[in-house]
Amino acid sequence: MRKIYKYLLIILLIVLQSTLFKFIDIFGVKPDAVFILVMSFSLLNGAWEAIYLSLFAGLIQDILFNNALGVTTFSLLIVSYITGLLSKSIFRESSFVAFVFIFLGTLLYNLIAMFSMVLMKYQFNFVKDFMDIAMIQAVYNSMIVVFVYKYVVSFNKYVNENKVSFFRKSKF
Amino acid sequence: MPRFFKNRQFILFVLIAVALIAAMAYTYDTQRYVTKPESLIGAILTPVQKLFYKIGGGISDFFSSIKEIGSLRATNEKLQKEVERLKKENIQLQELLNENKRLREALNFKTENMELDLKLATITGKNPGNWFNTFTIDKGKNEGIKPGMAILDEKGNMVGQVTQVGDTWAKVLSLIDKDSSVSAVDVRTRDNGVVRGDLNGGLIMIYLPLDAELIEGDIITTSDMSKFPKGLIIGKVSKVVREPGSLLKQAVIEPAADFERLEYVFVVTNRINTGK
Repeated sequence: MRKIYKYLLIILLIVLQSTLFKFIDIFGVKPDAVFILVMSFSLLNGAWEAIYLSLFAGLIQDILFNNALGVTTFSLLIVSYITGLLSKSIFRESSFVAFVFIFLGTLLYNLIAMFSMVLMKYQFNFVKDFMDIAMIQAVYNSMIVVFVYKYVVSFNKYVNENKVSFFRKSKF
Repeated sequence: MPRFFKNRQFILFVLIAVALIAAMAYTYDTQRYVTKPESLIGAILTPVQKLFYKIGGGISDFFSSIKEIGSLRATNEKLQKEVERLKKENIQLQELLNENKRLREALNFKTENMELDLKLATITGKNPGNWFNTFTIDKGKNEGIKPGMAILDEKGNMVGQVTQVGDTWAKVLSLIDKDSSVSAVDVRTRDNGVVRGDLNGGLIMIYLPLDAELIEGDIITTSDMSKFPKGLIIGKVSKVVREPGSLLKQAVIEPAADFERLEYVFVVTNRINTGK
């Protein structure tokens, strides 16, 4: 039943992200903590986890905030599913691997979001907005994941195996 | 390729993706009451968000009050002078108002300005992504909020419109969102245009005719062609540009509301019936 912690953590991050994250933006761009968490879990646990978690996290965000239902979920699903598939053949617990995946993943995530916005008849300067928002967010997200990934790994171990205590192991 | 189609997981993934695209196409650009499950999720999370949003407001108030201590005296003096000036102006305007009323009565002129019915609401959270500018408020269908109502900030400047309504909460599309467009008018010259958002938190007024005489500093309000009550303040013109090769002018508008520090908003509950 410890799996429920995972979902509670996602809900907590969605709430924090929509209320307090406006204080930590850089050039008006906020990092995406929910995206980082879902990607990390997909990297660690594979493609099934990617589908469950991205549906859960994406739909909550879409229902609460977006007018077009599915914008966040669709891009999150694709990116984390690809991550889940690729994670079979790499060393999953290295922070560097996570760094690379989050960086490229954020770019792809924003690209898919922009394409769905084009379909919804949004008008924007594609290259400029991509550099202004997606690039900055990719750098920001991947810097964050370097520092938090080891905690996500031990949290994941704690959730998956019932023997190890998360709090004892990570020296809190 | 055929190997993929035997993979159950991949088929499920494709089905979900197609369903999401269908959901997107069905719900974008709509104003509606949300379905029961959506409303329930919002009802559970809105109180939690409200708490955290309050905490955030407290933190930023604390820091901004520290920053302002030094300049309080100067600001106070400036405001005193402003009050004096406004008092005088107010008396003059009162005279004009009376005169106007008398003349209207003499001419049997029907009064056009309707009173605004306002309802106070608290913001509970902002869109976590970077592409959309929407936020949620803690009043919904139960309090009489309907899709398409205008939202004002504490000072009465327009900040957006209600798009989707749950039982106890509602989503608001900011004026500065790319998807938002409001029919607007220049108060001084009566030039009509459409105000849209850009991604950088500013506003732009498009579809202005070439002979439009609006200049920097003009006030822009909602026009009586919009579905909102007319005369809601949107912002000030900060630049007028002519697109080369185009037969229309554009104006860059500086929004009157401070979208970064919104905490409480008013919902304008009277709406013009457009027959839609």
